[in-house]
Amino acid sequence: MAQAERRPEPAVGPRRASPWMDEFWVRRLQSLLGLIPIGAFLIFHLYVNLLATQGPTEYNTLINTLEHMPLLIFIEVFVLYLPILFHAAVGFHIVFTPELNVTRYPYGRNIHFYLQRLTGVIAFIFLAYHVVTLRLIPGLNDTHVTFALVQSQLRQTWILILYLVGAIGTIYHFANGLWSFAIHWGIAVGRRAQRAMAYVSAGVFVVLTLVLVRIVLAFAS
Amino acid sequence: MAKETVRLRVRRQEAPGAPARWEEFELERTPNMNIIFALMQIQRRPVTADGRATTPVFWESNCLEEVCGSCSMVINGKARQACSALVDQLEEPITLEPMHSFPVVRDLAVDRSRMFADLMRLKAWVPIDGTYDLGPGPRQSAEDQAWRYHLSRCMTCGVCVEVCPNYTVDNDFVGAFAINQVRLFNTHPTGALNRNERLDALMGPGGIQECDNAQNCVRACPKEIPLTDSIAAMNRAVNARAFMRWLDR
Ligand code: HEM
Repeated sequence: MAQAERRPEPAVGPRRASPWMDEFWVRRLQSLLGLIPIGAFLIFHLYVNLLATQGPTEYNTLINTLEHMPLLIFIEVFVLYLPILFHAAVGFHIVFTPELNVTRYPYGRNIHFYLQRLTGVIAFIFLAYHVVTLRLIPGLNDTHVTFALVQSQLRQTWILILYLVGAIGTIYHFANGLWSFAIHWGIAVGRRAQRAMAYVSAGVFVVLTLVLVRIVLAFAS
Repeated sequence: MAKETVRLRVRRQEAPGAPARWEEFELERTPNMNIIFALMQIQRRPVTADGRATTPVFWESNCLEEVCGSCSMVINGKARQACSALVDQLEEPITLEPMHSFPVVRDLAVDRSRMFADLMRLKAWVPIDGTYDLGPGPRQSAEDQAWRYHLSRCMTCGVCVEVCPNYTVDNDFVGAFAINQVRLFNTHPTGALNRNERLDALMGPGGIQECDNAQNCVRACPKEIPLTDSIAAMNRAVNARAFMRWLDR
C-alpha cells in the first residue's frame, strides 16, 4: 500500500496561556469593567452634572458635598482609576492587534467595530485631559471645582470642541459597548435579540448625548 | 451586443514567501462563464493581455457547486467561492487574489491546514472509536436535526476567517467556523458527552475571547450559517463553564 503523504505541521499552534492570568479572564474582566463600574459611573456622572441646569449655587453645593464624601480617594482609585486603566490597557492591545478592513467590507457591524476602537482612543485622550484639568490640578492646588471654573473652560472654543467630541465619543463607546457586552456574555444570542440590543444601544446613545448637550449648554450660555 | 472578451487581473506568486506581481489576461467570453472557467482558459493558453507567454495560474477547486470549499479566493476585493462567481455579474477588470489570512502556496492557492489543526484542537468531532461496539446513539427529534443541519453545512472554505479583522496570518484565533463546529457537536446528543472538553479548549489561548463582534463572518459565509448566533451561544456556554469550574474548585 502506498505510504500516505504526511500532512505538514500546522503553521500556527496555540500559545501557552499567560502565567499570571488566563487570557480568557483578562478579556472577560475588561468587558465587565466597561459596564461596571466604568459605564455605571458615566451615567451617574452625567446625571449629577445635569444639576448645572439648575444654576451655579445648586451645582456648587452638590460638588462641595461630593468632594467631602467619606473614603473619596479610596473610591476614586479602586472604583475609577484602576478599572479604567485596566480596561484601557487591554483596550489599547485590542485596538492595535486587528487588521481593520472597513474599506473592504463596509458592513454596518464592521463600521461599529471600527468606531468602537476609534472612540476608545478618543475616550482615553479626553478622560486624561478631563481628569488632569478638573481633578488633578485643582486637587494639587487645593482649590475647589466650581460652576465658574467649568464655565471659564467651556467658553473657550477649542475646549468646547474637545468636550463635545470627547464626551460624545465616550458615550458612543459605552452605548455600542452595551451591544457588544450582550454578545460577549451570551445575553443576546439569536439574530432578533441581537438586533433588539442594537436598538437599545442606539437609544442609550441618543438619550445620553441629549443629556450631554443640555449640560454643555448650561455651562456655555 | 455583449462584449466578446473578459479582462482579468491576477495576483501571481511563484512559491510561499516569493514576491508577488500582477498579470492581466484578456479572455474569450462565453455564456454563464464563472471564474473557474476563466482560469481554465488561462491554463489552456497562458498568455497575458499584452501577448507575453507566462506560466498557467495555479488555483484549487473541486466540486464546482459550492459545497467543497476549496476554491475560496478574493474576487474584486471580496472573499468568496470562485465557482459561484459569475463573470457577467462582476465589474471589470476582475481582480483575483489569494486569501491573505493563510500562507500562499502558489498564485491563488493557500494553505488552510491551520483550520483543520484548530478543529482538532477544539475536538470538533464525535468520538466513537474504541475497542467495543458502543451501540446506537440516542434518537434526535426531527426539529433538532433541522436546526442543527444549518450549522452542519460548513465546508471549511475559510471565507469567514478571511473577512475577520481579528483573524490574522500570525495570530492563533480559532475563528467563526471553529466556534460554530463546537456548537454543532456540543448540541449533538452523543457529542454532548464531551461538551466540557470542547468548551475548555474554546476558552484556551486563541479561543472565543478573541472575537469582538465585527460580524463580517456571517455576512460573508457562502453557506449562510448563523455564525454570530453560534458565537453568542458559545459565549454563554463558555462563561457558564468558566464560572462553574472556578467556583467548584
Ligand atoms: C468612560 C470610559 C469607558 C467606558 C464607559 C467604556 C465602556 C466599554 C464597554 C461597555 C465596552 C464593551 C465591552 C464588551 O464588548 O463586552 C467596552 C469595550 C471596549 N473598550 Fe471601553 N470604555 C471606556 C474607556 C475605554 C478606553 C480609554 C479604551 C482605550 C483604548 C477603551 C477600549 C475599549 C475597547 C478596544 C473595547 C472593545 C472590546 C471588545 O470589542 O471586545 N475603552 N468599553
